[in-house]
Amino acid sequence: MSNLQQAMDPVYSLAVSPALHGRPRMCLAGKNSGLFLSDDAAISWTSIYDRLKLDALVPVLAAAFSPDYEGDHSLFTGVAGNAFLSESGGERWRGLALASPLPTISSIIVSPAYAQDGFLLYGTVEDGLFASYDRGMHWQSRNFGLMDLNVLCLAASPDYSNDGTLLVGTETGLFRSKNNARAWREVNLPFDYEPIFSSAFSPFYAADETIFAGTESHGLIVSHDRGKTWAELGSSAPQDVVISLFSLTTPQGGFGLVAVAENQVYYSPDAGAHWQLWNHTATIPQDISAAALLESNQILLGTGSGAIFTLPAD
Amino acid sequence: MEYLLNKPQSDPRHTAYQKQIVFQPDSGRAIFRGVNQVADLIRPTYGPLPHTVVNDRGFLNKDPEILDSGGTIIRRIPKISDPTANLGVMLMREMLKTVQDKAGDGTALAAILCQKVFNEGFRAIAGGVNAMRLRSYLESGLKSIFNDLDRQTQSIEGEEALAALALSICDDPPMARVLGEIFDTIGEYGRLEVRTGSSRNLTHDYYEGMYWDDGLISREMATDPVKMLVELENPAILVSDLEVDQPDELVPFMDKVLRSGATSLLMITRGITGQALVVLNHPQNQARLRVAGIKTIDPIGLAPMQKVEDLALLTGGRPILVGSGDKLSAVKAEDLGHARRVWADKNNFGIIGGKGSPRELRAHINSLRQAYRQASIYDDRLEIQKRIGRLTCGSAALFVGAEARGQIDARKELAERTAEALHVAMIGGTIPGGGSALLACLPALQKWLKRAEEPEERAAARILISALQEPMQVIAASSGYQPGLAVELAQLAGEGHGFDARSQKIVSMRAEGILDPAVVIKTAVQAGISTAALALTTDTLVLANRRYDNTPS
Repeated sequence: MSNLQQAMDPVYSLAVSPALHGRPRMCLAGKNSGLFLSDDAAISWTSIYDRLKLDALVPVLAAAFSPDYEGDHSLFTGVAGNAFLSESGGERWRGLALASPLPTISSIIVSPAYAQDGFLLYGTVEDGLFASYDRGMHWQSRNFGLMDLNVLCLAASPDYSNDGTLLVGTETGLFRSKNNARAWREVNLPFDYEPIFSSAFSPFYAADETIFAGTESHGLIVSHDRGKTWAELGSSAPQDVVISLFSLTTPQGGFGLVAVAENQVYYSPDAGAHWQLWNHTATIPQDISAAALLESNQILLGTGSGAIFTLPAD
Repeated sequence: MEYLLNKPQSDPRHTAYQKQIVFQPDSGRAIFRGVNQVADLIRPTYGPLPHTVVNDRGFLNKDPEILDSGGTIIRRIPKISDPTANLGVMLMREMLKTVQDKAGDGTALAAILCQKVFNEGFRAIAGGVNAMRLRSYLESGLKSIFNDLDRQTQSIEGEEALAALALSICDDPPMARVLGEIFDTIGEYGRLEVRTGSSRNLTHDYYEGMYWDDGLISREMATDPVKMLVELENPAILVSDLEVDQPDELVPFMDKVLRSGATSLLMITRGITGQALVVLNHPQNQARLRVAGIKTIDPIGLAPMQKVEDLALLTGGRPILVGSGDKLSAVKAEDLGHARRVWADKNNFGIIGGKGSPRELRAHINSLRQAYRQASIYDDRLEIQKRIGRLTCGSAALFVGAEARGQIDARKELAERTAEALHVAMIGGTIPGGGSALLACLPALQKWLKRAEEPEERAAARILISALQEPMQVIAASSGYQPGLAVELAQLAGEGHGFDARSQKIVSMRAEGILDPAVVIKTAVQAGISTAALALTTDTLVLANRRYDNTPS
């Protein structure tokens, strides 16, 4: 386990940089006690909260790296009442001008083509979504079509630069935008499948039109037609509430899924058809609160009690 | 033969009503004239290359208007000068209004089918066929037609497909493109408002937030007196139809709200008046508890109760209703709703981030969608759409401009009609357009004709076979092509093929994006054939002629 463990200091968010040339990946952790940065793939951590220049300590609920971090050194973070952006690898931060009442940022999506389109989408606890199309200079509320403003999860299509497609999970269900968050339409979920706690696109979404979502009481569900129809993933799939869902390509040319629940991590090597435990031997904490994929065979987990650790796949 | 009947006069100030009774064959000829006058007026507006009708409005001191919608055209003709033919006109008028109300489009198709069925039926009856039996067989033939139309129905989605469908309805490429994008965004139940634009072009926008058309009760409640606007954060919300005029009830209620921890309050009421308003507006009281009062509840009609229901669900409050015996003094803190933000100005108020149960809200919206699908009247559907739009955080607006001022109204109406047709297409699906879906119904009718035994049955089958070819013939004729040849070539090419008026070729209609909303076609077919069948069995006309003071006619 890393050196970042304190009693009752929940980990709210974890983020991992893209692969960097000649050095380990960088990681961000948002906790009750602030913002922490690791430059050695989560072995050690340094508090960088004071760089946000906030008067008081507030929980850091969301964090993200630019997919082009090596080029633009951009990091993003959200707290209760504010959001910040750094273009200097975390050295200097600027607060973002969001509308009043000040929202509580709970999730962040950075466009896979951020270098070209500068698109950022912030989800909040009770104010819906805010989008920027110019690297955070200007922000607009983007809630057209949503039934409620409590954002639980966000996902961007791997082909976002072409299809402008995003997903947002809320208390009332799953919503999809095909026009870069300008408007949202409810995805046709069966009644009683909401709220949606996690969602993920297939890495081959443009071809296979596949989306996954984690529900509160019906486990994981999948659609193979861009959300028109849905099916539950079956008895071997995790039935717990999945708080984080990741898709990753496999060497065989297909893709796998990693599903993180509060007390276990599951892996499907075949796009959700069959499931197994990510790690059969390790003792898994019962209060996992955040997750990020460190490598294709390593996951970074944070807990409600404040621990952050990496869990390798079997 | 005619009879004049006088109503007995008990008071010389009363007018005398004279009735004129018209029997066969004059009645049949009169309806024939009326039906054909209307159909001949409207049928040229059918298809992708519609002709237009100019309506003189000089008697209103207005410019003539250019019309191409059958439903609109017929609304401009309350009566014609031929009193006997007028009843045929009235029959067509009611039919076309019903088609437009139900489906938003399809009036020209209904007129074409009605004319063809009526004319051929008229000839068949003159040849000895029984009118009532003929009517019965015509109506039974509808079942076979609907089966084939259902078989060809497919759902529509995606911006391109919606734009192509819009183009086939409005024949206005910029409008079709914009409507395609809008409907791909807002969905089949989304709310679209068509407004007059300030430029020559079409523009559109999406407006977030739920808002209603009721405003602040008093300027003193505004925090921005110039805009007369108030914005409250995390307010408590009273949703009611109470009339608040007694400070004795109001002050304890405000104390309860304060004790619940709220620092601001939105009161949705039937009105706040008298001393109660004075108390609310007092600066000291506003400093303790910021209150915005909305007068929204109109005591007449179902709509106010629906509004209260929506607001209560949205905010998680209990509706406080006079009819339930509720009083302001008995309202508890847990009866109040809540929201992240509210705003109000002199004309509207809005709620952002209502704190009602998300599950109940979703269930309510689903039930509204169900009600929308079942609503048969256009105004009812519009009202439900508004409610759904409010509850799903927004509406789209299309601003319509035109080259000349006089064209704006016509273009707006075209946009509204196209939008309505897109709504029904997205809900009910689409079929190949240009009359090709109707041609696909012929094989079943031809089989029916082969096995038909009675003369009325054979006549009905032949009439329907002939009628279903008429729409494509009209389109071909409008574009200068040979009508009969177009139909023959389309049938040879196979099901789903039709005549593309723009390219003057036989094409696969679905592949070319030439589609019709299934509900529109079915509504028009039902109305046209049923109305013609009814008209064929009309034997006698009773006309009302009004005379004043018993003056002989």
